[in-house]
Amino acid sequence: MKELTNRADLHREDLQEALKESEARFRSIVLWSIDAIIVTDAKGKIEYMNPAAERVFNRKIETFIGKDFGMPLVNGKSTEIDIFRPGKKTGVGEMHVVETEWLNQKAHLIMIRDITEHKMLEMERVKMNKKLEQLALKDSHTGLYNHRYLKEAIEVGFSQAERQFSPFSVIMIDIDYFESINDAYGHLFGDLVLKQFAKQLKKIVRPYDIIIRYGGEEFIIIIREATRAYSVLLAQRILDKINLYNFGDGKHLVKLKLSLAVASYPEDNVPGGMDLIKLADEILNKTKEAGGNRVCSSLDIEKKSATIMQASDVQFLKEKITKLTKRANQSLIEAVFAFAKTIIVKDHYTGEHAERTVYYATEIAKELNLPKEKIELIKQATMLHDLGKVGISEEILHKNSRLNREELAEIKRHPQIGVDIIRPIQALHLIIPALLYHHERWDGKGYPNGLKKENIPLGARIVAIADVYQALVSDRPYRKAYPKRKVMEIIKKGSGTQFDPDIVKVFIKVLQRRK
Amino acid sequence: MPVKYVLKLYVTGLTPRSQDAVKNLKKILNEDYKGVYSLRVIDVVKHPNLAEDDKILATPTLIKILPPPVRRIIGDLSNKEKVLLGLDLVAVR
Repeated sequence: MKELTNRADLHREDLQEALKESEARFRSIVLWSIDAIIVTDAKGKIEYMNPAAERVFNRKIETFIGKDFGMPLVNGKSTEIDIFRPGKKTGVGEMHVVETEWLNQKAHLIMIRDITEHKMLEMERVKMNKKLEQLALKDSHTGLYNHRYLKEAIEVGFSQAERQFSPFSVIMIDIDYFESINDAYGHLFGDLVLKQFAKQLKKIVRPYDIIIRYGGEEFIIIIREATRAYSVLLAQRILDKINLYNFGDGKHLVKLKLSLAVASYPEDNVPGGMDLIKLADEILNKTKEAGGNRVCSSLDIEKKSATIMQASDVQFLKEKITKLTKRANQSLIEAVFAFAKTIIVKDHYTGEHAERTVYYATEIAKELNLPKEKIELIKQATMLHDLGKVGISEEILHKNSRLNREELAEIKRHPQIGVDIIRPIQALHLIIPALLYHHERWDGKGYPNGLKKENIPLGARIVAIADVYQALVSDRPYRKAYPKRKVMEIIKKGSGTQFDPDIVKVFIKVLQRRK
Repeated sequence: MPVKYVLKLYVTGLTPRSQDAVKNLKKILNEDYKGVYSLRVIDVVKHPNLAEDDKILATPTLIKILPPPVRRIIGDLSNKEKVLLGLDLVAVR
């Protein structure tokens, strides 16, 4: 019996030892925990706080023992709370509560994890995601919405209009001949113009109208609560303002022409938002066919019911359109050449000069074994190379003394003016480089861009020599013609500085053969 | 009707937790204590001294001053039953 009692005592001692060990381990966990641990009685009075609580709340533990923490209310597993720490920024905590016993009394074990940094990162992530979402819907270049946003915006707007019986319109805009701006001045310049155009559009429309960059130079404006009449007026205002605005940088300025198509609900009787876009697209095509730079709505266009065409009909139409375009281009080119001849009236020297220059440039091109089409382009470019002089005052063109700095600056504008004149004619786009750069120099000291060596288009290098030669052998208002021998000396001297040395050699051959 | 219930709610600025707590509490009070309560919402950022005096560690903390006994609860106040229980209150109506 005694033995049994001894064994029970030993067992109790073991249990107490184990309990002590377990308590020590628990104390160590609580002591070293990075979470604030607070024990309160059943009414919320603080009985214990661990050292981490001191750090989390930025206050001394002693001042809180015996004070009221409050009954923690937790919905589910945990609740977020704001951590108040005097003298420091407030934080965010995640509060967990367990009902337990403390010194044989009912108690709450409250654990508060400081999740301030985690929350800040989360907020950053949410912000970043919103930004990314916006970026995905915005065109990075102009800052306008992109085509991805169109479907969403148009359908939401349209169904709202239907529900509220309110009018709803779209204006589709296309910049006429925009490719020619890229061709003439490069894509960087074109991009700048698009950016400026987007900025101007934003200024003209109401702040809550939605502007979307639909394609390269195509834009859509979604206008809520706008009738067709209002939208046509708005489109006209856009056209008038844009026509007056000078786009570009300090070096080049261009004017823009626009085609604008207005489609409206309920006037156009379409079933959905995207149908309105489809209609606007059809109207825009007709606006372009009518010559562009105008506003059209379905009132201006003879609306034909859509019929499915046979493939042969489509082919027939395509061929017809190609022929018509060729014919139209030809007429335009002829008109420009006729116009170029008017320079004769303006500048007696230039008309005749142009014809002789054409002869020399063509001969150089032939000597260089250029393909037939290239020779034709050089011929056209040379014919029109001084076209821009129509924009220079006659006083400067006919001045019989040296030009002053302002007058020189004025005359240096003529390549640019020439390009502006031919820009709307698609068929003449290939000659733009030769026209624009025929006053560049091999050493980079020419104008308008200071291009060097092979960076100057070949056509421009050919026109340059032919142009200078013909100028030197002609009488000018301020000097007599130079003798041909002297002119040859000047040209040779300019080889490698003013002119492409290879073309100078070819030109000398051409002249010798002529003799 | 005279004011029978006097409450103080400590919040932190305009955090979502603070805004939710104010909204939840006003809903409870207007449902059951309309006209008989007075609530003072105190922003610990603007009034750190008041918070210090009341030994506020975290917000939202709601203190019921009247009727006695003084009770305080801490959390988002979204569960009406738990709020009333924590404050030692039963609905008037």
